[in-house]
Amino acid sequence: MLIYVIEISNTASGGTWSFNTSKFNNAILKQIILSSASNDTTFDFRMTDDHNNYPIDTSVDGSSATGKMNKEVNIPLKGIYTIACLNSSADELFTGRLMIQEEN
Amino acid sequence: MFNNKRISELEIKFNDKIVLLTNHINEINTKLLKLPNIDIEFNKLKNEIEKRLIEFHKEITDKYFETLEKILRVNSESSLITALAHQVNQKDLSNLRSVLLKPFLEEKWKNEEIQKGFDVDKKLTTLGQQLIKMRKNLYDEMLIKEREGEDINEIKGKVEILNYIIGDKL
Repeated sequence: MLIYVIEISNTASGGTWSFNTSKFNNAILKQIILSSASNDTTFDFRMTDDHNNYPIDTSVDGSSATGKMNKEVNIPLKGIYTIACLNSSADELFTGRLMIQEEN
Repeated sequence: MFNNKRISELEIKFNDKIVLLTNHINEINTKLLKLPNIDIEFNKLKNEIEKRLIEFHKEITDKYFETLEKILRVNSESSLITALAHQVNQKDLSNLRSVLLKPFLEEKWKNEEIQKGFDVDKKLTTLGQQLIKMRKNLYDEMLIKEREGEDINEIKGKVEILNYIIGDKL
């Protein structure tokens, strides 16, 4: 088992930031850790796959975060994903990481 | 003989008048040169006033939205939690807060974009807001194309150029 880490360090503009991951073949997303610079900043997190589906979208499932997000998940990954932060109440720096388990 | 004398008298009178007129014209020219360049001064004043008005408007709008946000947050958290106590769960409150805040946040982002556009206008003397919007659209398009396995070199180049013009990266 290999652990692959995607580091996040993005500044929101107009309440949002986004970037693409590399292409996955045999991987599972296990954990999402994301923090805003201020403790009282509210924000949403969304992942979009190559068919415009949202495996995770906290703006829909009601799990918007304030200051910090720490989710344990079990989402299989295939292809390229867009990682995005939405509806941030402040345009500031976001840091964190996505922990991905890769099969050999 | 009489005519010659008359002509000479008239000539002298005429020359005197010409000299008078020339002096008068020279006087006027000197005065004109001394007048300050009023158009340039006026435009400078106009630009200064517009710049101050925009700064003042931005300051007032920022303070307004900051205060509104604080009021909403306090209102939604304290009054809803105490009034609905056990009937509403945390997820509903979180949704309600997002819904309440959203229109004000959207207005705030729109105004921030407009102000950002003004700053870009100063650098480029073109419609800065359109450039920023274009860059956001191109960036989103680039992410979609990359996800779907298409070639993004051309669109990536365009985004880089716009990043350079606007002065920051998305």
